[in-house]
Amino acid sequence: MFKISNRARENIWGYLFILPSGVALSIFYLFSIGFSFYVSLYDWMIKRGSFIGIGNYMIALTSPDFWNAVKNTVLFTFLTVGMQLILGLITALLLNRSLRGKTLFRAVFFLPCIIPSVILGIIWRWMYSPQYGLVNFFLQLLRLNPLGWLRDPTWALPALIFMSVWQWIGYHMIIYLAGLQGIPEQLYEAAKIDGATGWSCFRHITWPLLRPATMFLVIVSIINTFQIFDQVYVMTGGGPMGNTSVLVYYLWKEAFHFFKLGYASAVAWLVFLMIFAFTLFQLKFAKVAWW
Amino acid sequence: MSRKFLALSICVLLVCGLILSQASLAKKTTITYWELYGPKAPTSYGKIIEEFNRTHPEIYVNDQFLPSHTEILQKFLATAIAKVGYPELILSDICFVPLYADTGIPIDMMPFIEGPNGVDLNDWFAVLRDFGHIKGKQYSLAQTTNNIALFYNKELFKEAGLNPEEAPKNWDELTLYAQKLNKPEQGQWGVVEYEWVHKPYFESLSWRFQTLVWQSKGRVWNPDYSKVVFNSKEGVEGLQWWLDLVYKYKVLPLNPPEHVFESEKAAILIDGTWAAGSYIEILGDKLGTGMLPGNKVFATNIGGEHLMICDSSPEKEEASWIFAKWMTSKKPILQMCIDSGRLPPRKSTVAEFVEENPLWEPFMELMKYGEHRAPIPQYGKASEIIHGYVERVLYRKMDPQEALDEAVTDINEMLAKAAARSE
Repeated sequence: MFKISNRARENIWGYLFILPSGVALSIFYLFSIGFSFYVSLYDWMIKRGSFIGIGNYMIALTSPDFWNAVKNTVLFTFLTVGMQLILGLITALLLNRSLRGKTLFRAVFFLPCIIPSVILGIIWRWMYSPQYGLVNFFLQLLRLNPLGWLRDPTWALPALIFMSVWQWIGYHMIIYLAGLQGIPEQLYEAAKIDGATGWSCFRHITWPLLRPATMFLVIVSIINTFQIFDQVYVMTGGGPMGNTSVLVYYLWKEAFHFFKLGYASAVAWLVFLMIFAFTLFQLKFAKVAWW
Repeated sequence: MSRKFLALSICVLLVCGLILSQASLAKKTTITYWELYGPKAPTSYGKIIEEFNRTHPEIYVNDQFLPSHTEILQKFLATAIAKVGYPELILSDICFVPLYADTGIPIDMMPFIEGPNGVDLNDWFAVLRDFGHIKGKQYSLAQTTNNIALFYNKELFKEAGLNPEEAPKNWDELTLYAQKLNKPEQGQWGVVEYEWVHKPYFESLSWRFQTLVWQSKGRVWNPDYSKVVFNSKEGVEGLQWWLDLVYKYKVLPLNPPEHVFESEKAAILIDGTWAAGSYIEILGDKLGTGMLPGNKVFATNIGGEHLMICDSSPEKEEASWIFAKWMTSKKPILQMCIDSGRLPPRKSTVAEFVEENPLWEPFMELMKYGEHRAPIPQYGKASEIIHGYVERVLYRKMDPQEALDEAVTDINEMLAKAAARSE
């Protein structure tokens, strides 16, 4: 008869407790992922068609619409994440000092993060209205020409970027605030004794010690921003002229407007591979170089 | 009476009530119906279904509201793949009917139509009847219809010295009227298109472009819908007219302000007839209606909603047919259409419909010149391609002939692949 050690007996109970979650995860997550890959190998439109192997992947990689979505997604991601990091850090630095009402300010900055993207999309669609929107109203107050915003091929993507940056500054601010508060005050005191200026303190103390927070924000923000969908669905529908067609919106349209399920699954896997590659690159790059 | 006895009696009564209610439901044939009216206009829709349930005690219609035709289609797709969970009856936008039919789940309604409890299909406008007839089977029955028409502001016509009772009838007249009505210094536009380039949904621009081709006596598709042929001089003529209105005469805005017609900052509006109810409410007696101005001929694009019965038990299919027949009978159709601007699909209802509101007369007149979109599952993709290229022309990124040639090449390539796949 097998003798089960105490440790093994404890482990069994642990596994039993996580079994229900494991089963749910397997069915609704792992099975879905596996089935998605399976579907991507077929010419699948509502009903399963013939097996075409990497055919759907090749169609995507040679499709101008796919590459247009890649271009828009990459532009959107890097501009949005870059601005979120910069503005989030500036906001955190400003609110990490003794300031009257700083708790209120922190709450106000964080508020957009907890409002659903769809609701924000609807609000901003009205704010961007060329005729009646608040944004053009303020532009005209500053004696600037009103813009077409979501209806202008040039300004539609910047409009989405601006909205996304505004939405997530608070999140970046909170993470950076936590990072800033983890930096020992003695380092700044010692630096000041040695005659360091504010900029020198930031460059040689603050910024290097914020590396873990920055890396976390870069990786998580790129993963999330790369998958933007809600704002495009609500605000632009991928237009005008496909200038806001992003990858997830593109694959959703292929799947649920045109029922090209096999092709859309292949695009989904390509999106996953891109995000995976970006993440690996960031992790490797971070080890090699840190400013 | 002891408390225990009272509590027990109440429990027994409750259980009996539950059993009886289930028993009464069990005697009824319950059919689930997916539709998109729900609490929205026309508000009489829910009441029409309630009346059916009241007058047909053997059938219960479980009316389920989804916010849009696209959501109904997407939910249906998920259930169609799993082959479980789809309803007995669906209300579909006309252009989605071939997609539904392609799943193999909607049934051929012809046995019911020609049966003892049938309907006279010839009473439906031919263009609507023909669209639901795919590969020898009648998959759908039009419940309401709509088309693209012309709306105008009589006050603004009077101010410009135009006859307020006469709408422009052709492209030349529309161009002339728009120039007289265009007052940029007052922020007033001559003509505005609402289903156009600024709409996120690709079908808006595509279905409007197709009317231009038809109005010039051109063809969009070949007779068996295996190819598109709109890169003709008729197609180019239509696009050039639009370009002239936008850039040469400057009477048509590429991106119209929201509600520009309702706020009386646009004199003429080209829009779908489904919006007519709201324009009457806002503009009242100032609203005039007209046929969509033609070029060489009148033509308009037909839309609307169609009912489809899904594969289920013979009993439920029969019940679904009884409901579908009732919903497409004269009284419910008129109830649905009169206040909303949706148009009746049956010729026998036209006289009464127009008598109720003479403003709708041009819309019904247009039904004689109605054309329908391609009744094929690939229509959506073709429409998206048309939209993309026409959009580029309107933003002056491409020449009209070049754009239409490339659009035709892309669409025909897509259709050829689809045909090869189905062989």
